[in-house]
Amino acid sequence: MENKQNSKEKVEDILAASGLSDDDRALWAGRLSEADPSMRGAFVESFEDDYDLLRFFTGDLRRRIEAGNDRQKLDEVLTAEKSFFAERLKQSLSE
Amino acid sequence: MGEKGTFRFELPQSSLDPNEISARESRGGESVGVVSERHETSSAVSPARTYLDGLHVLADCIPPDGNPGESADPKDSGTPKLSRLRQLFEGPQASRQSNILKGLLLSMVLSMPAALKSKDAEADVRLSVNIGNFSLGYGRIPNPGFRRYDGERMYVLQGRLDRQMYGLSRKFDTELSLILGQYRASRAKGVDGTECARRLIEDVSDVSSSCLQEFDAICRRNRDVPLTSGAERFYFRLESINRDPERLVRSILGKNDVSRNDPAPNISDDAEMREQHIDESEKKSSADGKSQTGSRIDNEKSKEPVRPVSLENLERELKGR
Repeated sequence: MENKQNSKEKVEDILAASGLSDDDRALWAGRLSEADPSMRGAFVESFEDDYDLLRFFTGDLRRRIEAGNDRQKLDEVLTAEKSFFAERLKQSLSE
Repeated sequence: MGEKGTFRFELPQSSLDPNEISARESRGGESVGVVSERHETSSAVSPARTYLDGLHVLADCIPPDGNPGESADPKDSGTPKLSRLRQLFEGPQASRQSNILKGLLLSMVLSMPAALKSKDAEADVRLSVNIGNFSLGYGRIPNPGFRRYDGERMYVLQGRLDRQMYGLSRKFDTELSLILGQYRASRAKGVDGTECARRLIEDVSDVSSSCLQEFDAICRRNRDVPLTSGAERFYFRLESINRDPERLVRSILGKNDVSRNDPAPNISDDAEMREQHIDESEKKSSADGKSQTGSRIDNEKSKEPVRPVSLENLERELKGR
C-alpha cells in the first residue's frame, strides 16, 4: 500500500516538474489511474530523470489514442517513434 | 474476475516478418491457449500487433553494422534482430534504453481502450515482454479480437527464440522436420497411426538426445551462457522427451493418464511437448524461407505429397480409432 502511495506521489511530482501542460498532465494522470498499478512504477522509472523522454511519449500517447485502429495513422506513429529512438541511440552511444 | 494468468509475447523472428505475431497464455503454470494473428487477415489493430510493432521499431533502430543512427534495412541479413535487441538492453546503456522501451510500452498500453476496462474483464491476463534481462509486465488485458490458434505457430516462435538466444544449431530443426515429414507421409499412405507414433518417438528421442549433448557442450564452452528460465525450459523439455518418450506416445494417442511426478521442472503438460514437436518441424520450413501455413510441412526427403495435418488433428484422428 505504501509503495503504491509512493509511486502515485512520485508520478505527481514528475508531472508537476515536467513542464507539461495541464491537459497533458491530466492525460497521464487519468490513464495511469485506470491502469494496472505497475504502470505507475514503469512511469517513474522511465521518466523521473528524463523529461525529454516524457515529453516525447506524451505526444506519442496522444497520437496513439487519436490513431485508434487506423493502420495508416499508426504507421505514422511508428515512423515518428523510430526516428526518435534512432536519434536517442545515436546520442547515447556517442557520449 | 477470472483466474490469474500470464500472457506472453515473443518477437516474431530474427528476420522481419511483420505479418506474424503470437502470444501464449498460461494459467497456474499450464498453457491454456495460444493467441495468434496474421496481420494481413485483419484490418483491426490489436494490442498485440501494436506491441510487437513497437519492439520492431526499437530493434530496427539498431543497424546490423553497429553504426547507431543510420537506418537499418528491415530485411537486412546482418545480426538478427533479437540479438541486436539484447545488445541494446544488456549493454552499457541498458538502463537508458530500457527506459525508452518502458516509455514505449506505457504509451502503447495506456492508449488501448481495452486495457482501461480491465477491471471488469473476465480474464485476468498478464502482458509481459522479456528480452535478455529486461522485462516489463502489464496486467489485465482482456485481449478482445484475438482468435485462438492451435499452438503451432507460437512454438515456432518460441523455438526460434531459444535457438537464437542459446546458440543451438539447426540440426534439431532439420532432423525433426524430416522425421515428422516421414511420419505424415506414412499416415497419408495409410500406415497404422499407433505404429507411426511409435516410430516417431524413437526418432525424436534420438534427435533430442543429440541436441542435449550439443547444449551441454555449449554450456561448457561458454560458462556465461545465461541459464535463464527460458533456457532451462528448453533444456528440460528436451530432457523430458528423452527420459520419457512414452509420454509423447500417450499424448499423441490422447491418453491423459500421464504421471505428474516427473521430476523435470517446467514441464507443464503433454500439450507443451506435443506443441514443441510441431514447432521444431515448423522451424525448418521457415528457416528455408518458405511460407508458413500453420500445420503444413514439406517432406523434403520423400518428396511425396503430404496432407496438411497437424498433430492436434492426428490426435483426434487416433482417438476416433
